[in-house]
Amino acid sequence: MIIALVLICMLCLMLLGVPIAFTLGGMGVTMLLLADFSPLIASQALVSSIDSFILLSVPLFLLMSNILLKGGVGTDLFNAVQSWVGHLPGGLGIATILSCAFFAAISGSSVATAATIGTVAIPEMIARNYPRHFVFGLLAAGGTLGILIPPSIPMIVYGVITEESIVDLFMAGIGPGIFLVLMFTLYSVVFALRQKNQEGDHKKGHSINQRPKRAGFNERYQATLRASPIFLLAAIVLGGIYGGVFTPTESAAIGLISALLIVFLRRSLSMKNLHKAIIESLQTTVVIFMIIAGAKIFSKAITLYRIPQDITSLITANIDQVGMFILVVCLVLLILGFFLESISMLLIMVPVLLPSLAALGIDPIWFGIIFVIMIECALITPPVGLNLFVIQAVGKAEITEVIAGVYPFIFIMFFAVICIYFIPDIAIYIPFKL
Amino acid sequence: MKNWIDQINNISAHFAAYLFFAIGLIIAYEVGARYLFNMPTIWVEEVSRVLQLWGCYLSMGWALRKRKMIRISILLERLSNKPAKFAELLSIVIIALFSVITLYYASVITLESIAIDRHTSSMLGLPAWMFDASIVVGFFLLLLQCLSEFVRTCQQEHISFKTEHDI
Repeated sequence: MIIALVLICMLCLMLLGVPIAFTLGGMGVTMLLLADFSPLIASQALVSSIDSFILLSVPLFLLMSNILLKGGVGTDLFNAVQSWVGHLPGGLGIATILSCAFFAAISGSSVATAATIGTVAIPEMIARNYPRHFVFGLLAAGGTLGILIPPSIPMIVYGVITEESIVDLFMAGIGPGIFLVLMFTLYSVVFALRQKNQEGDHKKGHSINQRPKRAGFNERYQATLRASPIFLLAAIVLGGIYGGVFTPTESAAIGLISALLIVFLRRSLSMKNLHKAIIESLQTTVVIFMIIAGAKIFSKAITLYRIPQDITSLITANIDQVGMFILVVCLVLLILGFFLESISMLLIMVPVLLPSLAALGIDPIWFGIIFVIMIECALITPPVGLNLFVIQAVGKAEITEVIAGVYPFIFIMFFAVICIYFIPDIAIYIPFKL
Repeated sequence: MKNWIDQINNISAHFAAYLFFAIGLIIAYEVGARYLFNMPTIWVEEVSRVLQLWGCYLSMGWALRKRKMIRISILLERLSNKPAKFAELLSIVIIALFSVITLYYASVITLESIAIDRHTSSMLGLPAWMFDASIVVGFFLLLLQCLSEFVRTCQQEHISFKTEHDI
């Protein structure tokens, strides 16, 4: 009864347009007051939720991504990758996905990844007559790799909520990240070959199969050399964390300094754009942190009401198979993803589901990866899919064109979830068995 | 009144933005001090956490003013102007109420921290009020901005629910 009442109130407030952070925080405080718990808990939760060194990696990774985005490093990266794979069937599609994957390795944000690579890849692909819906779908989906391939902001937040190792989560994201890159790449090739068959010999004019010429050694060498600081940055950020040289937060700070060095040496970032990057990073940071703070109060309140425990009892009484649990969670996330954005989904769902994971013997790291892939789906499912709007803005497209292009990629992501369910090693081999 | 409230929140948000930038620099300095000079510091971690708290809470009013906060607007966009205005005012009132309650209890905690001279249990041992006061100041600024937004919304002819956010 209480669970239903809480859900209804939360839904009403959200639909009335109350910001998610204040819906959660307000519900939490009201629940505390109604049950005669001290509201001092809420004020303490506001401090303790943000007083976290590991959480500092969020603004620092955002700063790094935004500085690289404003510094225009996407062009170098895309040109380097294109020089190696651009001549293959669907070559520009492959170059786009690989560029997204490389940028994802230095950025924890899907939006920064989609915007950085989209700015360069969309005009190039459209000029080569790739169908617009395919281009927009590819970029929107490719951008989501930003939160699966480490570093990843949702993984940091998930690690903070579940008190799991952020390093293990990052490492567990590598296998599924590579898997999705391969699937997206394969789809690009199949799409290009199918287009070729459809065009047949009759159609005249430009075709996506009129591919760029294979680049010579010198061209490849020059392009790779120009992009090498980005590869080096990825190696420092990830190698530093994995090698135990830095904590994720320190790695983000070193990444920030390195990013500043790169853009200043390239002379591609004006002081005005640096200021913009700093302000835009704050904007995203404060939005995430406020939801984290609101969710902390809500989480304290529902714990005092024993709601997560009741939900766990309900789940364990009705669902005794891990597969069924994952299926139900994925369906709920899919539905929530139509209306909520990623961090809100994470902060509302994970504290409630966490006790059930232990009851069903589910590895939280493995579950975290499945959760993040479902969040990736949410980023490209209409009507509230952030990446859809980013690509719409970057590509100057109609939102319907972007939506039309993302469906195949949503199915590929579902396929990835199924594969990770049946072959958990895709996620957990690198952190635990390598 | 609206103008000076907007101005205060704008300045505090810009200050907050550069606080996060400064945090990045001091953490990088810590890594350098540890590996290059073999002299790890005792202040960087704790100072970074305090700055993070201030950075976050100082920019809430600005986030409200700029409508950056994430919310579901699918239903609101379909409403006519009058109910939309009512929903917007209700939303502001809920934020203001939350701010008042938080402001009161955070002030209690902060004054208590000052009265009993509470310190953190770390090597640096910073006074606890440095952490607690960020909530008081932050929610005071947010409350001011709520007042400003309430007046602005009442005066507005048309309500727009477009938000900008990126993660």
